[in-house]
Amino acid sequence: MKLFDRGLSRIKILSEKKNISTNINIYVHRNHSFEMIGNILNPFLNFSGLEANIEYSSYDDSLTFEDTLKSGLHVLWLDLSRYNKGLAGEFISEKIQELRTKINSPILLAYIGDGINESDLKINDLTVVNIASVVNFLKGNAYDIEKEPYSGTRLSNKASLYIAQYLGLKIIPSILKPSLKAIVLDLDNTLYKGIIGEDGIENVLPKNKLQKKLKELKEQGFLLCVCSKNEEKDAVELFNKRNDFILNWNDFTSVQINWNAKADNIVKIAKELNIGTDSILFIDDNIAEIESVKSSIADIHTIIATDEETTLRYLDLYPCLIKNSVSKEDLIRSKDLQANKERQELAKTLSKEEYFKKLEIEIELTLNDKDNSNRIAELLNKTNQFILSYKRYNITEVENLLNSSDACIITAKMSDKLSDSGVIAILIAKKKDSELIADELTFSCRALGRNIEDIVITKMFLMAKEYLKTDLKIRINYQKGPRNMPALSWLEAYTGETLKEKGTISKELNPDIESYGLHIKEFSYVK
Amino acid sequence: MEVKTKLAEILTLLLGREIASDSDVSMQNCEIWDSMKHIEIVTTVEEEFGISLPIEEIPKLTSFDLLADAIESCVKE
Repeated sequence: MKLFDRGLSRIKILSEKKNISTNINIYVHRNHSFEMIGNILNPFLNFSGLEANIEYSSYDDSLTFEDTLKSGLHVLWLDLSRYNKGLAGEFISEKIQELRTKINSPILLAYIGDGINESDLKINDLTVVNIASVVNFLKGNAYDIEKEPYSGTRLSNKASLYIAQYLGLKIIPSILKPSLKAIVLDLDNTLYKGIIGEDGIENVLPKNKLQKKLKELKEQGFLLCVCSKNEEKDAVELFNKRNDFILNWNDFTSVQINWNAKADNIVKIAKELNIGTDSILFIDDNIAEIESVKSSIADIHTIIATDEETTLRYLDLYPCLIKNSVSKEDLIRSKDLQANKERQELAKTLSKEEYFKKLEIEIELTLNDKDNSNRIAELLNKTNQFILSYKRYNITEVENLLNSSDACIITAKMSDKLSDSGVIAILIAKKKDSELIADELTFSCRALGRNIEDIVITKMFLMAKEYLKTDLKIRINYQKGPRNMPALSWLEAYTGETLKEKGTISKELNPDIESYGLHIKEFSYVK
Repeated sequence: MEVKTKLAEILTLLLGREIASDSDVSMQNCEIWDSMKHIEIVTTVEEEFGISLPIEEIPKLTSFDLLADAIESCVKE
């Protein structure tokens, strides 16, 4: 993991092997030079499979946004010391709002100097990075005023290496790719120093800086899990007895403690959480375990836990460990997963009607839920399994749809007596002539297997049909992707048609669909 | 000799094409070597050789040979 080092040099960075799966365009609007960073950004982005083509504006303090090109990401790269004190904040905020109306892609503001109050910048899909916090550890070496006439920036060559590292490893992939969902942890010598089976529960030493960081990640909505070769009763006793541990036994959503191969255990955890192995980060101190897991699960993310400081730096810089906004749903997610086991048992023995009644399932359908645009955009971008056409609408596009008269978004929330699942399904419907086109549909895998999907989705289609005043015969768009088999199998069963690589399927809705006593309430944000 | 070999390796990575240790590459005959690339080359050379080139010399070091000479005189000191 050389790219995560503190001893970077330009030559080392440029000698890294390439690994590219996605090309992106980045447009940099700037008032000082970015080239020293831009020229070494790709080796860091390659870690996440990204390769950027960077285009630059001319040096422009006034930020005229002359060519607002189609780019996957717009970066505002600003030295605030070039503006009059006291005026920078308001000016930059107005300018970003102006840019927001011109483009749909995410915006990254990265600045040096003072004058911005980040909490004043409430703009959709905007990420803000204060570069000082990235290069502070370099102290005086962060700036090179002597070379500024040639380099076009106050920042030093050394600083540019660590800025490229921070933006390329952590920030840009986190903006452009779905975030990771779970962190699977080894126990001995990973979360503490020592081996409980040999040193005893009383004698191991907690790595509490690491535990604190993991606890923070949990509070941001990442699921913590354990995969360890140990006796489970020892591990439970350890976490219950040691009051000096920051992590508690209850912090772990899924636990596999046994002597089986770790790869098998991780696959079990992924299955239990209903997530792909590509959204799991596995941390272990044993390089042999890491390599063995990687050889069985090619798309898994891994960190080798060496000394605590290094592990923390890996975690701090690791891609896609940022949630742009922590939503209520993320926090209830882990409780919901625990309730799932109980539901599955009930579903086996009861009829649909008895099951809905026994669990007290409540569904809430909402037309154009303007209060939840963030959550809608987040789910459209992070759902990988039950998603029909991978449209990946961003927040700006979502807000446009919520205010449109010939399109709408229907969301479904679900709760039962075991837990509140929050938003479980999203339909994006568009009107074309008198026909309704289901352009995108997502359904939470946590809510599948309760026999509710046909009923809820049909009701969502009907609600959109009422609002858009279209016919009962609708068209559903779909596209095969790497992991959306659950969605495609559902669509085949729902329509009775065979699917191609991508296309659209007609379906006559049944307005009187049997709902087996399922409680469904409808709300609308449209007067 | 060693200076030229190492300089060739650095320029190969920074200019994105093979540069030999007797190269005549310069700002005049290499399109990608513009003023921004120049400062990247100079700061990387300083980092890799552990030297500090005199600031007033920097704009003049616009070819392989000029860079190599400047590095050698710095290394000797």
